[in-house]
Amino acid sequence: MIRALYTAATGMEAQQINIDTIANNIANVNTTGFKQARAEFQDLLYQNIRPAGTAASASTEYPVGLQLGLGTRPVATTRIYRQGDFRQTGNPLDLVIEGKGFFQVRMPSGETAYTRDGSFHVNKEGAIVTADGDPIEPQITIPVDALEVVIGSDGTVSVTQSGQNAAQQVGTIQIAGFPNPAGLGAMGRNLFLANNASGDATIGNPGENGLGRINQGFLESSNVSVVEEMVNMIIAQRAYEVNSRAVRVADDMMSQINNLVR
Amino acid sequence: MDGFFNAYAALEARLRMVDVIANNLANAQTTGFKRDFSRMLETEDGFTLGTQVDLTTGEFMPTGSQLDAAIDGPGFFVVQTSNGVRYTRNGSFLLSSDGELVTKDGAKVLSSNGSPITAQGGDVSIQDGGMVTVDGNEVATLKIVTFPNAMHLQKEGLYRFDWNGLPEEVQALPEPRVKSGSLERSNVNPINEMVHLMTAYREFEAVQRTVKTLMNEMNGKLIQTLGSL
Repeated sequence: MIRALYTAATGMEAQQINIDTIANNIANVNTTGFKQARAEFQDLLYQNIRPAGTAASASTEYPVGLQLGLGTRPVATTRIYRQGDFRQTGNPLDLVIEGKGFFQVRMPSGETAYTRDGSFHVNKEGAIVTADGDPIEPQITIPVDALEVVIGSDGTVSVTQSGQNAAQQVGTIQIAGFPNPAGLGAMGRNLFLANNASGDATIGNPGENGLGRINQGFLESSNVSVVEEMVNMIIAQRAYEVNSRAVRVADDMMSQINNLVR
Repeated sequence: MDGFFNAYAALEARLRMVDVIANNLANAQTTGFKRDFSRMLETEDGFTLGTQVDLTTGEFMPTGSQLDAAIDGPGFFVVQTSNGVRYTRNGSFLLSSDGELVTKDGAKVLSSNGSPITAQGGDVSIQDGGMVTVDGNEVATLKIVTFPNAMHLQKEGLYRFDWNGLPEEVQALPEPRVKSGSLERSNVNPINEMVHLMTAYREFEAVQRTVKTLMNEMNGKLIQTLGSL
């Protein structure tokens, strides 16, 4: 009896985590480069009370066994790396990766983080940095007197300086691909860190080795679909409700057992 | 007194039915989950309860991930776990850092020749029909198997099934209908489960009344007998 109570409780807990994930998706519907997360569940262990084929008598056997499941548990929150919509901004340092790959960002700690958010800026030394001020990797410096910055689909950054006619190449933006991007650890601020699950980064020029190409003057919107999240939320809420119903029934049955003896 | 013990067994069976239903409801959103249903079995000295797996296919949910696959109709994916070969309907796969195709909890997915699938570099995807391709070139085909019946198919939890029957009864499916970019939802229908839950509850109530009546009658008789002494 107690089993059903705990089993239904694991279901309620799972739906709570589901709602948490959905809420975070919805909160980030306007975050540049945000990737939707989805909570995934798996069934917990089973209690084998009687396996199928056990002898019922000397000559017969039970055709079915008796297995009681103990509920569910969240196993992963998977990121869905579906491309978000492109939004034209006209800002020369707004970049999107069309396809796979991440921009590399050097953190103050010296570690490299990865991001899909390509809204870059120039700091007072002329280096290309993220909105948080962390420089991109490899570092690229735009001369102070640059009139125009052109970033090609292969990542080459060229500038036209005042008094010069020809554009001059100042560097190449390289991007990183992962064998398993879903395994990257999100650290907030649109940044991800590599770990054992994601595998090592393969760094390359955009457009090569399956990496995506760069488009200048666009930003990648969040890939969260509000309608889809709303539907998921309704499903999660109803699932929570039916589990709480199972708790109530289990409780009622226990109270009836208590009432057997007056 | 026989009626008393039968009623007790009936109460116990309803409690277990509720356990089974609670587990189904808890897994209403578990990818590839197959519901259990309970069956009353007649035995020489009354009855007993058994559970069986309902293998009907769940609905498909498009995910857009190239490494997700669902099987339309019968069949199971084959995975290598630390405890041996197991079977699953959950096709939510990913690549390990060694470039091997694995499940979410790290079990290796096996190919049609029974070895783990390595797909390194480039654009890895699972195609309709179960082919694994890297940049469009086929590197392996997912192994999909079927079983003659569900009787010896035992749930292990963590999406997995274990086959307790004879090993030669596991048959490779020649032309599996694998859908890429989709996952199979749990085949639990919460409405049906609620109906089963209410039925089990009402039956429990009825038996409980019977028990109470039996007890009252016995008490009455006992008092009468004692009084006449």
